[in-house]
Amino acid sequence: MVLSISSRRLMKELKEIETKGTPPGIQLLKADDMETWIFLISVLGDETVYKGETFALKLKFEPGYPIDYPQVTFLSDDQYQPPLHPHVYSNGHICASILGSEWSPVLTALSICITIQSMLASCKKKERPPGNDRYVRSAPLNPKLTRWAYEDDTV
Amino acid sequence: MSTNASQAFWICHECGAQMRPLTVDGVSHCASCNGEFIEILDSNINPDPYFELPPPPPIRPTGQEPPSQHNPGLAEGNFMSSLFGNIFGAAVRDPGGSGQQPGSQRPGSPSSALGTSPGRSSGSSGGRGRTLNFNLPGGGRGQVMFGSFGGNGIGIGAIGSGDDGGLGMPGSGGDLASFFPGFGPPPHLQRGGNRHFQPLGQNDAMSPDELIRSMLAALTIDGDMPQIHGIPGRANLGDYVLSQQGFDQVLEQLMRAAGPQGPLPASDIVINGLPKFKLTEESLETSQFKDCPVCKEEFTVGEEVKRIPCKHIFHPDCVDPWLKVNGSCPVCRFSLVPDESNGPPRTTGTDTDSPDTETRDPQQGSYVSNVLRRLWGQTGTNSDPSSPTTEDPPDAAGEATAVTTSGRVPSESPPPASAAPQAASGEPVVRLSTDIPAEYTERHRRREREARESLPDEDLD
Repeated sequence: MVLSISSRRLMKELKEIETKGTPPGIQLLKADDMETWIFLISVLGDETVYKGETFALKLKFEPGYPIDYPQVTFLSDDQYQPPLHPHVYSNGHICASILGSEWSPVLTALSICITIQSMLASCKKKERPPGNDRYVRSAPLNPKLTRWAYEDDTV
Repeated sequence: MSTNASQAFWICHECGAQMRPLTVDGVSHCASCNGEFIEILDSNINPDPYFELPPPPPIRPTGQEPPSQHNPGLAEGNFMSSLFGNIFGAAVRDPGGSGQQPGSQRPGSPSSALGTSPGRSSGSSGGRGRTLNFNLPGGGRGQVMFGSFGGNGIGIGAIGSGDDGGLGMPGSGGDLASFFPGFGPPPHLQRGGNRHFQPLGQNDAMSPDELIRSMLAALTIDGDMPQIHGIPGRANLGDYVLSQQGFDQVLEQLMRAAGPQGPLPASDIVINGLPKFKLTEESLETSQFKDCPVCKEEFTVGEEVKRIPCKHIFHPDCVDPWLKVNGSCPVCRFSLVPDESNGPPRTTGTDTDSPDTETRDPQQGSYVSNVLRRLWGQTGTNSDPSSPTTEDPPDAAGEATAVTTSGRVPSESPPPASAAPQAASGEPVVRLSTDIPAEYTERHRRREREARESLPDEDLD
């Protein structure tokens, strides 16, 4: 059977990660299949408000990948908690334009991780987004079903 | 108006009929379907504000067939009633009697049956309205007016706390009994009677609950009706918009989704018109693009690739599905979707290109792709040196040069995006149809700069 475009592309990415490794602070935790990958993300250096913290980023790929962007959320379980960040809701949903209107099939799992990592790195103040509770109460499971409005490009 | 208990009406929750129940062995039954789940609509006995009902339907003329036991529309009405019951049930108390006299049945006839249809809004005074205010979960404040706008029709209007007071929707005047066949406390089954009435809505062109349903569907964000079929307490008010403010928010969301900020697909004509060519050994060697940006596979000699006017090349199978979703280059976001303000792009280019150019060698590009090149294919000659370039198929490069007057748009000009650069370069400011719209050039250039200057985090929110 011919592999789907999405599987072929993901295998390519996986191979790339295996041969070239991941950037500092990013680590592939789990990629057992071509559906769900989990990366560990931490912000290096002393400047960051997330010093010493590690977050687990879950990427869920759909058959439409890479035309379609993956579902990207921070894990929220016993072991990992989403970072306290003005664009990260307490249910792990992330408001980032590349995970929405600014997605491009050129982006990869790793480039998503890098983007999220730099989003965390530029954060100066640990806080939840305004309206977090309200959103989390009614949020769909799949962040892609949320209509995001991107307002703040400072963080 | 006061409601005399003897004139009180009952509603059957099983068939939706308004009737006087039949008492058999001390148990009240629906006169229409014999069901036992019936409720009295009387302010004294059942102090639910919504017993206020329009005039009951006419008595079924003697000799007419009994109404069907189950009216689908009315069964759905229960859903509406529980919805409105949930929303408003606790919020309003009827100050006095009912707005309409429930006992004022009129002799049955088709014409009088029509009197309760939603279309009817003219009529006698009767315009007694009530307003209720409530807070929406999202923090908004809403106002709903109930009242009879016409002789028999009951209108529901929604008004938000927004700036200018908003506007109601009085056109929905209809038979309230169909909206609210019953709600409130459990039924009281102590009354008897034996009169039969025709179930509502049968003669209505559009049943009120269809009307409301479509209204709500129009107002909910995604148009889906949540699964709340008749299960009180499960309706989530957050799924509905009941105020002008909320309605405005939905509109704004819709407009934002449909607006120019959202990704727009490229048209099929544009997608199919993009030039394709086969990679030769030479072109592959000189090209800086060694692999397809979408699938990340390396290009191989002899492979067919598709090129966007920004010179980025892709496998056709890779880029086409993307362009159908988002008409921009995956790499540099060069837009293949013309701004509306620039006018329809394909009306240009009729001066020199006649349709018979389509019969040319496909390698030469189709008519459409020529038009495209004129519109957007500017990067071949006047782009700044660091812009991506590939080994051009000779014909395409030549054509692009021919139709692109270099220097017309200075490559490093900062945005004034209009015709100003043209004036600055001493050329006539007349916008020829073959000119590259400066907006395109400027936008593309800006994006190229951004792409060069920043890493992926520029995309970050």
